[in-house]
Amino acid sequence: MTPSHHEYTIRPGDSLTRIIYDMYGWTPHNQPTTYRATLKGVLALNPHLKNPDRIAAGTILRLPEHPTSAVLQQVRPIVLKQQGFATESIVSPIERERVTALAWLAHNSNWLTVPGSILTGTTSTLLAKGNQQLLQEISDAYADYTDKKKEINKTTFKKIRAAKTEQFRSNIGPVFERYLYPKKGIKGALSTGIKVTPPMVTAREIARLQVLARHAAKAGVVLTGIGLTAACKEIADAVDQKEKNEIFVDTVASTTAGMLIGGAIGLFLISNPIGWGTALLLATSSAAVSWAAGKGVTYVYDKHGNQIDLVRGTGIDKICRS
Amino acid sequence: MGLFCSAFVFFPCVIAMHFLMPKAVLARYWKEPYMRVAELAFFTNTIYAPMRTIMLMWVIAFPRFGKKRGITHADTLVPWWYRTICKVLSIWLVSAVAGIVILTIGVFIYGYATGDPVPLTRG
Repeated sequence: MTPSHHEYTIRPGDSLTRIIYDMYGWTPHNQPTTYRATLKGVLALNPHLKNPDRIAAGTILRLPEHPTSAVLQQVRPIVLKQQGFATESIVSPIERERVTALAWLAHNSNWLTVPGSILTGTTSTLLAKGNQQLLQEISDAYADYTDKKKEINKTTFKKIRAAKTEQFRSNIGPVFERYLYPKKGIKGALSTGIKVTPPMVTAREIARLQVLARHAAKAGVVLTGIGLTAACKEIADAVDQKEKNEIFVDTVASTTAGMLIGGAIGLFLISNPIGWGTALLLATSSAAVSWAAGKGVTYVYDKHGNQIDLVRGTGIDKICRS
Repeated sequence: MGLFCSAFVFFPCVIAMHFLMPKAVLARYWKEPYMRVAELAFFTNTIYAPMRTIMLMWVIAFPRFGKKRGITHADTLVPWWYRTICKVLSIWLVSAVAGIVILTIGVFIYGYATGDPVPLTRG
């Protein structure tokens, strides 16, 4: 039997207009008739809303399902968490997890970090299942606290929230934390009453995020390819054979040094669990040393090995041509 | 130059060790609480997956370095030849990186000392 509604928890800053736009894509301007019909349906499902212009954060809002909406029919939404929603899925479980994580990211970051999450590769700290689980546990604890039966009291809820929040902050690191919660960090966001929960996502967002998730799976390889392509182009554009060889030597030496230093950092990492500050310091140092190694090897090549035409000998000049 | 050439032997060896790593090691230690969530996310089934192999090779070769994480018996979960290769590759890696750093510093110092510093830009 097709369910008649799903539930959404109102967040600070929400308005009915905003919620209807987020959920269905309609505004009083782009789809006035459909918007008014949807608003009427929302008000009918929520008789407890005394004043539609003043909705309180934390209130549970029932939202009507619109199976005839063009947006929903196109993409057949795959977010499965809401009560009574149809759960037809058109993607693999792994991709579903990525889309849900990216949806949460997008919803809580105004789309600013979506390009960033793509660039960090197939999986990132924020896409890790463990972090999603932490946020869900905070949300579950809040639900237990606000439940009429009072499953847990305020002190217990605060302890749970503090522990999970600290773990989450430790996992994602200060850079991502500030990116997601720019004003006060996650603790500040929680103190103002914003609940850190996986949000509802609209069908439109799901469609966009499916595309982004696919790109994210290839980003690490793409970045490497871009780096090597740039060097190849430089070789192609170089004026003489000497310059071509210098570019080749610099690229090979710095890439090799970078990979070896990265491996050594791995040895340090397994021996010493480190925080994000130390990780950033090591990454920066590694980049600096590998860059310097490239310059150093090029210098030695110029002084003592420039009679060896490496570019021609390896056939690189046949590949990297203008 | 020999250092960089031997790196091209090291990388294929790491890839081979990646696929040869006994599943018992991964099942026992490649999870929380031994590894952090971020490390599991970055180094599992991504382009950075060989990092997992390098990290575990180190604690297989030298179990005492895994004490802080509680990874103290990884060496007992692999055959003797795997343990031996881990030691060789790990020692080579540490030596190679030390060599890179020392040689790079040395070249820069040599350049400045001879009045012909290493150019930082091309052209």
